[in-house]
Amino acid sequence: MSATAVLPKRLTSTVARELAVAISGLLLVGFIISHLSANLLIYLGPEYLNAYAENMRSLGPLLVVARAGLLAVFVTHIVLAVQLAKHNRKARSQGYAIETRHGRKGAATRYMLYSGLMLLAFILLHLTDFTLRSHEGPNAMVGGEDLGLYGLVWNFLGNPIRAVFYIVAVCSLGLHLSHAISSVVVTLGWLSENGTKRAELAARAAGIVVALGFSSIPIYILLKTYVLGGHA
Amino acid sequence: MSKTINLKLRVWRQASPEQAGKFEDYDAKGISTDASFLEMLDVVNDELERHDIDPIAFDHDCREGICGSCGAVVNGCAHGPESATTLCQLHMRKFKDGDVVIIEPWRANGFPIIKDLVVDRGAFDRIIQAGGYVSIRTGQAPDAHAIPIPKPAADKAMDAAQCIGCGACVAACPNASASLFTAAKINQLALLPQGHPERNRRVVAMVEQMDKEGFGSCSKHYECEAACPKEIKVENITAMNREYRRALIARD
Repeated sequence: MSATAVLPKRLTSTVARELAVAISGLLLVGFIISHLSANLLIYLGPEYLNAYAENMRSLGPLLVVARAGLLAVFVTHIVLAVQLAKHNRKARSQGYAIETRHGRKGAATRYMLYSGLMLLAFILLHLTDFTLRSHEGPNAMVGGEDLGLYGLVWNFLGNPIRAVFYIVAVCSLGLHLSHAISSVVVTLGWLSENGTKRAELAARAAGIVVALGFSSIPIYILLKTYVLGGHA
Repeated sequence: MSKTINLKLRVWRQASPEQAGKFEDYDAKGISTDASFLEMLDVVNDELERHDIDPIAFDHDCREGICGSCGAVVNGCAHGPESATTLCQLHMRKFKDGDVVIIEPWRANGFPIIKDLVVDRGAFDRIIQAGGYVSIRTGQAPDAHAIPIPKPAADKAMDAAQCIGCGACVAACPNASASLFTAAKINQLALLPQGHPERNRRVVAMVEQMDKEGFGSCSKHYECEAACPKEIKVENITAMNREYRRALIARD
């Protein structure tokens, strides 16, 4: 018996699962906004970013609960989205001789699964880089000074290979969001046709803002390290 | 004045649901540009029969774009390259002399192929049977003006009711999803007072049947809207999702 067989049927239909993907996705958008705002503290200097990290750590058990909740949302989003993608692929076993597209949606929609999987790979690396690693010691040393989390970010994103991977990953996040935000209003049954078209524009703008916001950090660090010299 | 063109057809031939199909090439010679796509197939079939070749099987009935019987994927487009048109209303003036035309049936596991271009769309009937109706158990039909209906709601319900159930939405969808069809059939009733008493049960039952038939889910590619000969909008899927969300928290 599958895990979903015990749930009432109306909770396991494709429409219900799309709804769960949309709601978990919206929660993740909230997380991305808070994460990006916190990251931008790097421009204010080591004391601000490190103080923020210290404040987070001081939450203690609350932080554990928040992380568990975030993990649950991530797992729900990924498991259901992959499950639906498999279900959808199975719905047409023989494809067409010519595949053409006429709808108004573009690459972001077509490559949703791939941008999502790219993000998953990135998140795993990102967690081992910054969350699971000690924020002190040799990795945090910049110019002979231990700068804590700030130093760790500085050293890791100052590595051009990591920086490029980071930028590619946040661009795929932007692509993912530029479809997701326009799709969510349909899945949640929120907007009229005109409202949905406006949401498509807003989604594109949000995708660009998020991609630029996150990529500005490694670009800033690389510029400082290799061109301008020094750190903030 | 009409002119004639010659085409190279590449048509999906499949003798029965069990047998494997393959593409066969045929020449369509001397086709009038005033002919419809189905009339072109009629001309080709006449020629095939003269050579004792089994004619190409295709569905058709009214040939005036209102019954929903016809349909094939032509060069990757459901109902061919012209928008808001059924295959029978597609005219050969849309093609150029010497064009290669690839003709395939709707491809979806929910629509098994019966023969050549003919698919079994019984799945749509079963989705309707699951709840796409209003139950009236007693009395006569009331007068049309007895129940006030706001004009915008009536307009949208009529737009949804334009659906002829041809299956182009499924054929065009990358997920072979029947969401647009199911949504139109739900929404034409959900928008009207007569549809309200059964709305929660209806959306749950029809979605369940849609899943059972092996169609995919909607990931908002908008291919269905582009292919629909009756220009049914994705907005109907938004409304279906809203109906479903409502049914999830309802007690009945």
